[in-house]
Amino acid sequence: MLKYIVKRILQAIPLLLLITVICFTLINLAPYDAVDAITTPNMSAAEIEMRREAYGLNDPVYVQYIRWLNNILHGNFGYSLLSHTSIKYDLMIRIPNTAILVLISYATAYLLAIVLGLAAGSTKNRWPDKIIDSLCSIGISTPTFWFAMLLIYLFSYKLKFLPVMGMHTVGDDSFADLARHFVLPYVTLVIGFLPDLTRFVRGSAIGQLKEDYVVVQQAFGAKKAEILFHHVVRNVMIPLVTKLGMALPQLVTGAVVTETVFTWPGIGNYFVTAVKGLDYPIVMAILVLSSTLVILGNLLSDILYCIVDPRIKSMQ
Amino acid sequence: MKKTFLAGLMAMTMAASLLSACGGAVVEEAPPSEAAATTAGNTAEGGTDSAPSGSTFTYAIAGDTGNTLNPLTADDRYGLMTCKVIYSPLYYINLDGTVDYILAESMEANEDGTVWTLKLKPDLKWSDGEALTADDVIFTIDAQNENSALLYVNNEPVTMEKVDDLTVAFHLPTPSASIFELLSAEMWMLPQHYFEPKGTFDVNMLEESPVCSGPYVLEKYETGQYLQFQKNPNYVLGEASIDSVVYRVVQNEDTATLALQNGEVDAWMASTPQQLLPYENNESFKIYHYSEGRVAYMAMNPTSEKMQDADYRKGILYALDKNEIMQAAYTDPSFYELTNTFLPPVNEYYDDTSVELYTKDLEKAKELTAGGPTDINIMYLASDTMQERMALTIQASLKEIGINVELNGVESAAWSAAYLDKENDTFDLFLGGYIMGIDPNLYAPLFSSKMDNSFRFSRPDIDELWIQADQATDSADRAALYAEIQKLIQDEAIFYPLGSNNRALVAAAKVGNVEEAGLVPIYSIKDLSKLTLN
Repeated sequence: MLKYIVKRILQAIPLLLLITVICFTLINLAPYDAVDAITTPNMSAAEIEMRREAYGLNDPVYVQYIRWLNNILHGNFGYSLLSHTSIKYDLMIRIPNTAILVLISYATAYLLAIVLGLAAGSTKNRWPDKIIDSLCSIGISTPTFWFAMLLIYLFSYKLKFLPVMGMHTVGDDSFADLARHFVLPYVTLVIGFLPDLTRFVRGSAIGQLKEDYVVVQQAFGAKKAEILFHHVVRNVMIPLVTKLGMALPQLVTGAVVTETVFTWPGIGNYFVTAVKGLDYPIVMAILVLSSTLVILGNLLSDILYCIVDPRIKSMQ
Repeated sequence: MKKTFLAGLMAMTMAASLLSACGGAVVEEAPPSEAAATTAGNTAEGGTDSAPSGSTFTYAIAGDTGNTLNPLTADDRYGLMTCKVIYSPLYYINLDGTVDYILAESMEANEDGTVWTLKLKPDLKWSDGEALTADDVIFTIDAQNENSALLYVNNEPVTMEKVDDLTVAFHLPTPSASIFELLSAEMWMLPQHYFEPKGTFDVNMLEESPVCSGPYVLEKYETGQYLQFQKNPNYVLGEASIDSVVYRVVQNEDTATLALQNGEVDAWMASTPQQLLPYENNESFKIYHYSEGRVAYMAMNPTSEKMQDADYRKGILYALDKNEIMQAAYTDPSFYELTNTFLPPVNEYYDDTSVELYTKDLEKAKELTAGGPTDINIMYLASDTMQERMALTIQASLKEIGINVELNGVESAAWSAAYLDKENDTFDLFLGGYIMGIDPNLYAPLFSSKMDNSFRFSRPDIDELWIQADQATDSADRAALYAEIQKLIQDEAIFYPLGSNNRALVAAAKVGNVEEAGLVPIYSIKDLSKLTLN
């Protein structure tokens, strides 16, 4: 198993390099650069040229790429071209902020989805299924930002239960304060993740319930709940595990809209601001992180596969 | 293992909902109308835990500064706003040309304008109690010059000489009136005893609290959340009335307006007239309109083949009504002031008495554009709804004289790239806006072909006038020269000034002295130390 994991990680390295080359090339293909985002009408052409030179934007693309790669390998993410601040420090604070929000929300949605999906799948075309399925349709078609604003309007503005925004009250770093700020973005994200996952579980459960082993279990007189939670759920988990692995990059980029609406100091709005300003050191740093997570997510899926389904392991 | 994790997760979720319910119970007792009038320490948000001692003014800003502040290179709005809170300049020039002396007592030129003498106020102190002297001034300007060639006149450096601890003399190679402005506003004085041993001007706000001279000192920076400042007892204009100021990062405008109405922030800058609706006729809030000295304009691209004929360009201008364009964009006249030259009307050298106004005259417009191109395009910022509305109005107006205008909305980086590329002929008309400064010479790079020439003018006589006007030491002579420049530029029909739009600051009614503190471009509140909380 260990040999397999190491092999997969080694295979991922050239892939990762390829991703960075593609991203870097695409950013450089844009007909303007970060200097265009910081120029103001009262800057002279000489001044603009000086900045471009200072940021190394006049060097050939490959030189810029090698310099950037060298820095990354030394753990140096560089400085934002626009605000001149150290990207490493920003990421070190922002990534955990996003991770905690997305991790807890996704885990909640995942567990709820298993329960709701199985309930819907096992009652196909009857009222529990119809209710769950309709709610999922509404959920999928509801824009996150609108739902978030609705929550703020109701719970913060009208009822004044919860704060409108942020992660902490100024000067208050207590857990209780964090929890109060956490509730609304958490609910928004759970509702955001839930419909898709529920439908996935439902579809998968419907497929499994048609399988022969279910008929056999029924013939043996097994109870419905026993079949569902003992046998069907295990098989449903296999495709669901893939989803889990694939969701790993969401730890970095999973809450862009929610973070912006709630002013949650995470990586999402940081990334969006950087993309708008073509602040390539930030964009590249986040792309590398999220593409690493995609690759690791795939690896994680494969490993989890072996755990949930021993047949796959024996096939290797 | 999995079970323990899940149990922990559920416990946290339950704790969160339980706590939120408890927090809510405390706040519910306050009637909604009072929410905005409570102090920040007692707002709906802070209801549960320790309330900070003293008064706090919370201001919503739309972007994060990032963790590093460099007072020499800061050029984004929020970085500059932070510098303005913690550092002081020598003096500040208002849009109407009046001067507020802050660290300096005076800055005067000798008769021929070649030597400027700066006198500092006596007994100035940094926030750590050290004396602020002429050495700090020279240190700062040297550092600034090393960073970018700032203090230069006609490409020759200005030399500095320390006369005594409170006096610095600036020797100019040739007379220049604009030197006065170069040493104002964003030229924050920096403490030599703090930055010299440090070896860098980068301040890591996560770890450092820099020595400063502004009304407040930096207390805490939380990435993506807020900057907290405490008042500086050594501030030159007197200790601030409010103990603590918080710049709260709120990127989403809808969230910001709800936070203001909820009392989580005390002031916020609205960007459209529609956003002001909840605050109009609302006694819990006050709206302050003020000018940023910005000039919104429509310009023609002289590089474009279609824009070569001056009569055709004039014809286009005769088809437009700038009031109609500005009203379409800003809805309410309290949000803008029309302008007829490249200077904002608030500028002391603004003079439209002899300039061509191109008052709408469709017959004349048709006559002048007859035989010219009937299909042109207009470039504007797609993300700017004001510019989009302006473009639509221009499109409709030109349709009346048989010219079809294609709307070409682009991203800001693309706009800048096209604007800076003097060879670019892919656009015919374009919309934009600028805030240049107070001294009219700072507008020269826009129109002088000897400088950047942003608007692509080629008039050697105007180039010469710019130089003469900057070298003139008599203010009446300067005024006459700038009036002439304003007239000549409008005659070319390349640049069509539309108006100067106002900004609107909305503050909770408890925030007092806003007008006395002053509302200015970029920083919005000029001197936070003057604000009061009732």
